[in-house]
Amino acid sequence: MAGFEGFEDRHKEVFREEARELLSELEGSLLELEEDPENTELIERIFRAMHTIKGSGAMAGFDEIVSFTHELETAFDLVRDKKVPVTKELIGITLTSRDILRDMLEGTAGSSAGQAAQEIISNLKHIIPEFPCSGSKKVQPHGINEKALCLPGEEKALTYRIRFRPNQDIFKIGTNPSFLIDELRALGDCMVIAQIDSIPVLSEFDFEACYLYWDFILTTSHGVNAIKDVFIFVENSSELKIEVIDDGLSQSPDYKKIGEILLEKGDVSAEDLRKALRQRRNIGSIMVESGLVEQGKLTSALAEQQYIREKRKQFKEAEAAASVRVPSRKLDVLADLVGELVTLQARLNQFSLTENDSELVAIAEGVERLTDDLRENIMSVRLIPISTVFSKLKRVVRDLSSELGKEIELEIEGGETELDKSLIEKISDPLMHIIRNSIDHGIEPPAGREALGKPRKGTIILHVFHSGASVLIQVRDDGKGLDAEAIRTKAIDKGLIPPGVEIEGKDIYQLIFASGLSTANEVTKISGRGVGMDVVRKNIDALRGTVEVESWKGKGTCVTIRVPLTLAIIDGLLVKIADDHFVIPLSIVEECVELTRSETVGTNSRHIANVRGEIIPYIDLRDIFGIGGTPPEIEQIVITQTDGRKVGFLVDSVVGETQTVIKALGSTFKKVDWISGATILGDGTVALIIAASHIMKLWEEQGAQRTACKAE
Amino acid sequence: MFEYRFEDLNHATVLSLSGELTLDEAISDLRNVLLEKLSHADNIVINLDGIKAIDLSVLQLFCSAHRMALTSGKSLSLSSYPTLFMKAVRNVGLSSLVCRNDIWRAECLWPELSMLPGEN
Amino acid sequence: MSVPGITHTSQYLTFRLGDEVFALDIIQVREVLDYTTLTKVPCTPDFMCGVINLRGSVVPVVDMRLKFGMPKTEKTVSTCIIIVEIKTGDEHIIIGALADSVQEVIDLDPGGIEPPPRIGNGLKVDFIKGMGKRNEKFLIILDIDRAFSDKELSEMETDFGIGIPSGGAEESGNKKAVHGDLAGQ
Repeated sequence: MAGFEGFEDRHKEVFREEARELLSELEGSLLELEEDPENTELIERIFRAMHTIKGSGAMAGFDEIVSFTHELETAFDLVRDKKVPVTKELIGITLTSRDILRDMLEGTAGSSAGQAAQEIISNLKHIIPEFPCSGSKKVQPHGINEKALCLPGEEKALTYRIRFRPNQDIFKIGTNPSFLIDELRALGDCMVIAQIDSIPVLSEFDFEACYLYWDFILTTSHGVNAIKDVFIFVENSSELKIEVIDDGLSQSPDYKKIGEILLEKGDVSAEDLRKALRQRRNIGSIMVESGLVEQGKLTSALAEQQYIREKRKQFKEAEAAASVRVPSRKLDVLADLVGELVTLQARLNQFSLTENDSELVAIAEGVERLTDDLRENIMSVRLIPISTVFSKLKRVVRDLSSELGKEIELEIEGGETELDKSLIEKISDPLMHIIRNSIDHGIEPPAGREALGKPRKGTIILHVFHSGASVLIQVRDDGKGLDAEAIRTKAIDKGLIPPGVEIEGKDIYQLIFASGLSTANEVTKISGRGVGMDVVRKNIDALRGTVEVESWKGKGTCVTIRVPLTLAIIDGLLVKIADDHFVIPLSIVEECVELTRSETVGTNSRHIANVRGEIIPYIDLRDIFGIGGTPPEIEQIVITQTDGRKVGFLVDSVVGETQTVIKALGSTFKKVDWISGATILGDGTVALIIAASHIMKLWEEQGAQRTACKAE
Repeated sequence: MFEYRFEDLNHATVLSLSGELTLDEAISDLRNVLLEKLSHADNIVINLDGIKAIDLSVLQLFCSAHRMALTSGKSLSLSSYPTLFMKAVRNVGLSSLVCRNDIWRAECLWPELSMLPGEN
Repeated sequence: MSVPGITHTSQYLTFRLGDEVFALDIIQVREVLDYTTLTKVPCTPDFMCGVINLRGSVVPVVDMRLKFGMPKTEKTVSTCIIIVEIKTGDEHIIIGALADSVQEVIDLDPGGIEPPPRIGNGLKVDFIKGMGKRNEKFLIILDIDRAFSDKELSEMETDFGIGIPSGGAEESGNKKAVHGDLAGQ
């Protein structure tokens, strides 16, 4: 089975990818288990992740990983059997193991990983007295503890390898092995291979003896006990070996090499196998020719190999039907295409209305419905819950706090909030920085906290929620808060604020995002180099998001990240100012009200509208965008709500609702944050999408005397 | 209940078996018959067309006889593979696969796996 | 006298801005479009005419005359948009440039290109790669990467943010200086 180099590399890469996912799953489950040590489902999940890593690793040739995971698996097998309790210590060791596995996987740690693994194993043995002594260090890359995989109630079909060698006198006790075979076949998909090598020549043939013995490969969901039951009356006098050889979990379509199978079954010795392997030819025929193994055994091994491959193929096909792994780039392309379709469909709609042809209108409506569905489906494919990055964060909290001798609990709210995948990937680093900062600088050591009358254990709350067209991610800690004075001094030192200029309140805290400003007196390993927070700022900026910080001395700090829901398509309200079209995201629009010139005069241009008794400030877009010309007699105020606050946007007219394919304005306009993007209208012209919250912010900063940008 | 009949043709001795070839009914006699014939016939062909049953013990007996024939430079083969026989062979997991090796490849007593009836 | 960086005979697209003839290395030119509806992005410098829809992509368009300190481009039948690809940092961006008219594609060999005259202010010289000659008339070979560099484009925008009018005034001052120099050639 010497594959092509390229194939092997690919195989390895496939494994790496799979393993990375499994390792992160493992990490997540371990952290959950720490919270909930009795959860058998979690233990099972952990065991499975290890098991799959081991199985696939063996096939991809990651021997180091295989033998190490094997030990971990052994440990967790004991945990499953409730022979070993879940302790913090065990979790800790296993988490470290996960890191070692990752290093082994990426090949980043070189030989030190192996050494670290050895340490882990001896630690495991130390804390688990029941840990079996692996003196011979016999690692069975696939040999799965059969008992382990047959929990009660588990209905998953497993594939077993059964070697049944009846006592030669079996006929005399009145049992015919044929019946046993029939029973076995009844349990599931069964392959029977008789072994004939014990049959003597006729002259020595005892007609009452059974010389045949059998290898079976059986896929059944009935569990190992059902198999044992078949042999219940003969098991004392017969040789019976039952092993699980495939648990249906392996992702790889490939199976063990013939030599491996023979070795596992004890049909050849390792020594003989090595000898045969040295000849670099078809190993099976070499071994048969040289009498190292009987043909029957080889056949059995070959059959097993083929059987499992076939099974896995079937399984893969069945699974492929259930889920497909697609590079996200392909989804991007798909989303773009749907975007184009939406644009085209808008044109069709417009055209159909002008043509006044009822048939055409009906077609256009049909296309619209379909396009809508298509769009929604594509978008939902790209959405994943933000909790996917949380295991990484939990890990950071856990590791850092123990490293710093702090006690910290991470509370998560809104982990189910769904976000675009690309957004989630980009948000994870900034989040990590913020949390590191909270742990390192925010939360005080336990003793210090007690002295202050705070609970020993610090809390970091991660809260994710939707607000209008944005997603807000808040990281709040109950630590000591930011030291405004220290920041001010440092900022003046660094020349970030000119001396004599007074900066107050929130603005002071905002300075922590400036480059080169770190208030930590000593540089720690975790933070304090003054690079963290400005990186946060940069990353969030790149997402067209904002980051704000609030702090209360002695009480804690709250960092709020706001990122736009930059899905490629949104529903928008198309509005017009002079000849320019703009889009306001429909998700924030509350209602539209008319504003007549006389009303404007009445409020003395204070830009406040009275909507059914409610006083709502509004922003004159014509004014702040510097669009000249005279507004019409009756204008429209589009009332929006963000963060629970209502603000109106004054426009000439409201054209209607439109599906908006968001196009990036490109890096040329990266500083233009009052526009969140552009969209192409039915007639092919471009309309700009208004970033309402940014405009509001700028407008507020100017107070009542907002200054318009210069028109000329 | 089983019966056997010999027929000496020019090139071969045909052993026609009928009835129930089972452990209880036939095994002991069959063994002796085969042993006796193998001592002086060079080419034995077994005809199974008349059998009503065949079990594991007989199948392994055939295998043993076949082995003996080959080791003494003689030949033992089956004239045909009746369905009943094929089913029994499949059921116990025999096929040419298990016995094939370089020496006996051409002459294996058991049918090719592909010739065996399917699961149903 | 030759210009560093120009070592091979290349093809250049020539175009007119006012009375001047400019040239662009054809490698950077993607296509030339007829004038089309522009959507102005509010609160951006005047030379940013707006954005157009280029087969589904939104592409910014720059008025080169304003950028180089000449009077604003007046739309005529021959006004067109030259789509160029600019390299800024590691990024390649696509930008449209308004020109009064596009003329022809010509070959210029390195020997026929002279360095820009060292007169006027630094800004102007930065945008000029060299001076070519065609039918006894000078061509200004533009260094479009520099003229439309990230810095050039985005700096202006910051200055033009809502409610920060001071930068805008500064910018227009700058513009006037450029205007005088380039027009003088």
